[in-house]
Amino acid sequence: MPKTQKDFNDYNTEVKPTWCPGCGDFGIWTALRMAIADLGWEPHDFLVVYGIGCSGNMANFVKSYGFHGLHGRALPVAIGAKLANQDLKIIVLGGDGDGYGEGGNHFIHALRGNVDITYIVHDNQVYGLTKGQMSPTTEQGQPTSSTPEGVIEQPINPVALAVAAGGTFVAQGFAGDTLQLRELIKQAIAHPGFAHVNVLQPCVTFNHHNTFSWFMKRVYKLEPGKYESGNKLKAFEKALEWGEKIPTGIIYQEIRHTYEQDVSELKKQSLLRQALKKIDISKTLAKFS
Amino acid sequence: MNQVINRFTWKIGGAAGDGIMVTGAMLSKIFTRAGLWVTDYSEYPSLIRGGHNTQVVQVDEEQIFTHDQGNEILVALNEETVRLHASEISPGGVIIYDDARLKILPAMIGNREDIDLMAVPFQKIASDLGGKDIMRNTVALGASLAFLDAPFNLIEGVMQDTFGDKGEKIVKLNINIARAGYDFVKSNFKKTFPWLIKPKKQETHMVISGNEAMALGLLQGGLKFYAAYPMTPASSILITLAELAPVYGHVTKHAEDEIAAVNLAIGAAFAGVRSATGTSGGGFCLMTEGLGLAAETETPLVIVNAQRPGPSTGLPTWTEQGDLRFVMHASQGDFPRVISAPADPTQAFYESVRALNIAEKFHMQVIMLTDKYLAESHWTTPEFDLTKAKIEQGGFLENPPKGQVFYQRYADSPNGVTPRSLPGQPGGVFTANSDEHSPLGYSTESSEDRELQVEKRAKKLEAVKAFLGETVVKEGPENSDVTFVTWGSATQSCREALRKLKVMGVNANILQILYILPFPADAVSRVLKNSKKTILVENNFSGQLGGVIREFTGLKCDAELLKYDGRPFWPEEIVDFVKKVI
Repeated sequence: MPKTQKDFNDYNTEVKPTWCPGCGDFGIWTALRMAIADLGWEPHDFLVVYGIGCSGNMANFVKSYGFHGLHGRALPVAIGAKLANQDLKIIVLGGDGDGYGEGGNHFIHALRGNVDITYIVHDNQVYGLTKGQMSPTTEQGQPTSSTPEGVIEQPINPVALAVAAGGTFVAQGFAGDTLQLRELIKQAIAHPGFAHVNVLQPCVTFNHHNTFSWFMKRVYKLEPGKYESGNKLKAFEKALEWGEKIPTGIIYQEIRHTYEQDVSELKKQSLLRQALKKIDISKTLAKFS
Repeated sequence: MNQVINRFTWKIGGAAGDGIMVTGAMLSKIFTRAGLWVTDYSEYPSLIRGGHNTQVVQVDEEQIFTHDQGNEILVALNEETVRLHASEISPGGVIIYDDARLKILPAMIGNREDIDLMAVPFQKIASDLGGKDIMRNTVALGASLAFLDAPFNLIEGVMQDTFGDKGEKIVKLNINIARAGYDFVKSNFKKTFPWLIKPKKQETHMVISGNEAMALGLLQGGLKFYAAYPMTPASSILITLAELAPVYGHVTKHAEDEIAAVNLAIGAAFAGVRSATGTSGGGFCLMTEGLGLAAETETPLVIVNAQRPGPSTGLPTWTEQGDLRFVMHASQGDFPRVISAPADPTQAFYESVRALNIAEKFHMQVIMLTDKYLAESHWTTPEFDLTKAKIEQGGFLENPPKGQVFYQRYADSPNGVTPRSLPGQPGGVFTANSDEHSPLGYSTESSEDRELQVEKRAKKLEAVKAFLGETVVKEGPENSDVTFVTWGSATQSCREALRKLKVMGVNANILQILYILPFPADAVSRVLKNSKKTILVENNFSGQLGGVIREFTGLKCDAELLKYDGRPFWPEEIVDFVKKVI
């Protein structure tokens, strides 16, 4: 329960956002701060780890401990921090190029590992910060500055990939629906394990195909009660929906042991709480003589 | 024939999978417990089965550093061993082999008549006693000790330690099989073998490899998190630490790749625990961006690079010191880092503790540069003094003012070290930023902020320098005829050369540069200026340390001995070179 009533503006910093007017990042930024305000966290209570890209620039706009790492490498930093201090609340923010391109390997292995962190991906189907090149989620055939004759590859389906790779919480949100996204983020944070939230968002400057109105016409909410998120085959079906209808909500959820739960050294306390005073390796040394 | 007591070289050769390394390790322990000094060294191809593997164990009454090329006992488990190594055997030496598996023709041994051939039915002895095929090695072990007239009871305790966790039956079986090999030689070899073992009383010593010493040093130094991706010759650090995790409570993580490994280690360090990663040159390539990330965010980090010959996959299971320039300059940008290069297990142990201390106190990145020769070879080593392996903590923000939320983690400070707060700590909120940043950690492109941060990072190296004190190691008499200038494991070969030169009446000494960065320019200058003849000894093609010395001191060594065939320096090579240049 919240210690004091928080407002989402309590998590602003001295730096004003530098995103383009109308950018979907504003919606994600707002939903994130709302979710945290609802949870009543103090700024020192949590760590947000960012990748590099327009999404990562949020490192300057959220009042909390932050780690603005390398392009594609936010996840391992966050996992390392969690394994060192499992009592810390950790949220990771990345983009589609950052997390599904450069950091694709870490994404797959983070899903397998199920460390208890929340991973929110700004998926605008294009590279924004480097000015409009194709991303792993750009639609096939779409011309971009690095693929002027259209993208040849098939796009990655991050939601289906997450389900296939062993994700225990796979959700999709839309930056234009801040209130739904706020709830999804809270559910992701509450989930014991690796929670992945793919957030569809327009890039008003570089993606003139997947626009705000393009998404508005297509997204629909999965209704709890009508859609069961615990069935993996059904989840695949939902995950593969793309085109006329795009589902949002929790696509798949299961409860599995977190990575930290199965590391025997972490059962008693976090590594950070282990004292350095009484280390004595003499018993091990004796085996060498 | 004169008998040689407590000084000989034993070699075993066979295919990968024959278990020869275990045999060598047991012998090293046996002789160390007999109060002698041992070094062992193995050569093996990058294969799991087959190929040609050897292990050498050299024994001496005094501390030894690198083995000789010759040997006195050669255990041949296959024909290749005979063909390749018969020429190395000293006159009077012996080849021990199983004639049921291997016929030795005179041509195979270069028609030598000055060595003995001793057929021991390894396989029959093992299987008659109910042992498996691999226990041929155990027969060979017993047979070898019989030649040396070593008391058999030396074997029993080591068998217990090696096989104890497989049960009493296996221990007994191995002892019986070794005994049978021992007895077979005692009753069938009628001559007097010129080399003998006579156990001595000596304080307890260990037999330990560079990687094992480093893993233990990291643990004693407070390491709590180690992430790595397996790569020869660094893998055994991960294996040793993973094995010991239940005992000491640290966590090891086998990462999906080296990029993840370094970022995991950075994340754990940022959260407040002492953390490290380890790899070889190829993996270090992948870690370079992470090295820069740790530098920019001022996150403490220790990276071990156990070198092997490159470029690229190179010679995966061999040794070289070719990454010196690479690690000095790895990652984009102009920023400081600390590089230590231990020569032996003792230095590897204490320097691992110190690396963690430096990383934490100064928010620095410490690269520990070793190589396959140090990483995987074993040496008889005096026990480590744990009272000298002290954890020195520091660099943390303590008691921030009540009510404070934000903290200027990157504000300037006299020595560049601004105490760091840890996520979760009230009053310490900041952002660690890979972008250039303001004192709070927010991205900035102002020239004032940029200059401040560049200078702040650079200042820390001076602070480290003051903390470290002397970072060269000098050995041997002053005013010697020859001074070896060297680093890392090549120091071991120089030490052995020193022993040999002394016998020949040549005075030599060594300047080992233990820390490459911060470079000990004054100490190196002094030695170079005051030495009669300096010889640079390094295990690479271009004389990288020589270049670094010139860069920092303007001085050049008088001669260069370089080697880049994947093998460490044999002491004989150094001695021959000295004869040529003085």
